[in-house]
Amino acid sequence: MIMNELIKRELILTNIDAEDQFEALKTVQKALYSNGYVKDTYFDAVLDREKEYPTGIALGHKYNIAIPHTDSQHVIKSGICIGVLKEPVKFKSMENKEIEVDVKVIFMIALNIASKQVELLQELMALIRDAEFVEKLTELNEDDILNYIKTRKDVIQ
Amino acid sequence: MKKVLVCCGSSMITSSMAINQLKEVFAKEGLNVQIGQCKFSEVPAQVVTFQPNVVVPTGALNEKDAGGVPVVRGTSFVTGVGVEQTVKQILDILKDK
Repeated sequence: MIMNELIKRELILTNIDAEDQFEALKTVQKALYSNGYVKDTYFDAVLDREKEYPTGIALGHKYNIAIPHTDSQHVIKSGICIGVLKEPVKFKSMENKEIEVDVKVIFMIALNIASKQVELLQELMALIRDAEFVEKLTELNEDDILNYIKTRKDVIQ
Repeated sequence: MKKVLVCCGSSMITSSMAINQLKEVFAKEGLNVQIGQCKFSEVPAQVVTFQPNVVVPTGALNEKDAGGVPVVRGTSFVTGVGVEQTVKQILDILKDK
């Protein structure tokens, strides 16, 4: 479900060269913006929100992730952009602003809110909890990531 | 009736994830709980008007904003790690009063 509705080939980026969080977020949001998923106000809104309420998540996997997002008013159509970085950049932790986590995979979320999409997001989080899933994302190229996600029974259902 | 105020940064995404799971828990426990939802910035006002027994922020809420109402961090509803413990803390507070 997530696969078909939210994760598209055009929204999968790998090998992202980014010095810091700003560069990483900028590259990832560009995929959403240039493909018509979000308005030109989305990026600034994500940056503001990240400062105030950070989204880095350490799950005890080899690689940490982040789920930057913002208000639905900045979103045109729903999508989730997967951005895999060459080298991790620092995000602040969602749980505690005092803690920094090294983030290797960014899931940038653009939702024009509807309760069904929250369920989809829960499916995505279930995948992210799986260490193997996150590790696979760091190893594969864009096409293979898309194929890999298709093979996941928990996505297809 | 017991009340839980669930809040998140802005977009209502993560608080909705928490609410979905809390509804299931309360149904299973047979508890009649009213659930409120708001942004972090609205918490100080909501504490006064909604009068929750517990505030559940999915992220880094400044606990002072809850005005003395117990706060249970609900980030686990997003990450899926440690949900049982979070649920237990919330239930303990709700059943206590």
